[in-house]
Amino acid sequence: MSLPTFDNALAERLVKKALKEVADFPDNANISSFSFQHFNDFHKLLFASALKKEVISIKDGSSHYDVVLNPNIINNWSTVQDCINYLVNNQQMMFRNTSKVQL
Amino acid sequence: MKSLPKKTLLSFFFIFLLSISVSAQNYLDSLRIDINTINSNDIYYTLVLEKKVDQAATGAANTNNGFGFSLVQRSDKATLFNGTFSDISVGVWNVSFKISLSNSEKDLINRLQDGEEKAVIETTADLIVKFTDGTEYRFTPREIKELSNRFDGLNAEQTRLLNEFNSGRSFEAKNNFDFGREVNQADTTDAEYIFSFDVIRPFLKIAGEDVFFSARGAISTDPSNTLNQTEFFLSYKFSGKEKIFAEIGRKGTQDFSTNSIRANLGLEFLAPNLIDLTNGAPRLRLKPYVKAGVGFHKNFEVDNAFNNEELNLVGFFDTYYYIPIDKNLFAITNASGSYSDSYAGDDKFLFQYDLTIGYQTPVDAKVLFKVESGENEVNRTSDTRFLIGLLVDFIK
Repeated sequence: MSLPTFDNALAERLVKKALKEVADFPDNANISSFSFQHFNDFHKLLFASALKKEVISIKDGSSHYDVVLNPNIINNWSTVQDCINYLVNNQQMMFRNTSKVQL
Repeated sequence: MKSLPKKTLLSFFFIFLLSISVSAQNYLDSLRIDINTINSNDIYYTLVLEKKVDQAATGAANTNNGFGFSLVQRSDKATLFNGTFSDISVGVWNVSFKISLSNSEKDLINRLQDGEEKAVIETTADLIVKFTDGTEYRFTPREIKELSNRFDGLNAEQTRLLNEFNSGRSFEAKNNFDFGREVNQADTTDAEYIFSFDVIRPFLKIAGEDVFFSARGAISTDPSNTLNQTEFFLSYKFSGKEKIFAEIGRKGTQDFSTNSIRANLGLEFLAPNLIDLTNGAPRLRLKPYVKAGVGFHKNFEVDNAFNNEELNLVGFFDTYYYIPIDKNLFAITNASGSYSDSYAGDDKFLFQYDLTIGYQTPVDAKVLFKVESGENEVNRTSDTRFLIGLLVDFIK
């Protein structure tokens, strides 16, 4: 059971989808420089919730991705690029394998 | 056969323990506890590894039925959590045991605090980690138990986050303070200073749910300014319906000469964007935040908006809207309004707002100009004030 890893491009797509829950921006915009500075608490909450759902929805066979998120982590992000970097570096895989594993 | 002396047996035991530590240590970088509070509350007991992980598996015949782990209190052997292989999460550099907390397991958080008695992880089979360099390591149940004994437990901040924020409320607590200089309109050579605050903290629990205390308002060196108001509220968000809230509190003037009690029931949501002033620039246009509802308002003095001391029904709204303008400018407006048939006079609608115009730099935002204006619903007086040339960092 190999551990697939998602890259910068996939992380950016997930963040883009989550951002659409709380904001509008051109589809072709370079989102990496967008700032979280003017998000109020409610924007942050909805964005974080959407981001977590997007990450979990990425499946690989019977496994799915996960990421640890909490307010302290999110408040440390200054720009969207910080968020993307965090996802790439802290992605987790949750296994859902019921078959026998031979090693 | 002559039995080995106790001392020799003890030495063998320590050598055995040492060998476990040394072999696992070759692959282990550190131990860490992570917490998640978004959409669910989870604690991750994480083994940070020296090598990049490629695969994870178990030596058990069947990953689901053959492999399990338990979080066990060391003293009384009480089982605090039972997990399966599905609760093992694997990262690029780590393997974690995920402990999912439900609302009914809040006591568990306190039991897992640093300084409290430790819990250990017991597994029913080996956990095997294969690395990208082709090597692998087999963590035996004995090794995992021994390693898990070295976790410090939840630190104070992690305990606070898990305890205070149930799912969906993670950003409720805040401590925002702002300081500004006001233009004195009567005498422009004179200046007044304004201190505004917005603080929300958990206060008590009702049926296991947090009730928050909030303090909001602005006070200044000119206490006669009617825009200087303070509010102290207790608020409750309905479990599972985080967007619906109930709150009760005091609203009134800075010097407490005018006071009222207010009880609100309402809804929070994001509305569609109304305008686009970016002129095609690729800016992030946040959707406007709206908090709206109905409330009961009772004043302590008759000389007020209602001109009575009855319990008055009020409809209200609060909004926050960040509007990017062209490439680098922005406007932020906070507006609030209320309507009541019971308001004295013909005007049944009261409105207050502030508008900030600022300049966005790549790293922060500078306030260029701010205006506050409106009519307050406590004593029905209105005022306007301008703050200019602050050029200070905004919303850190």
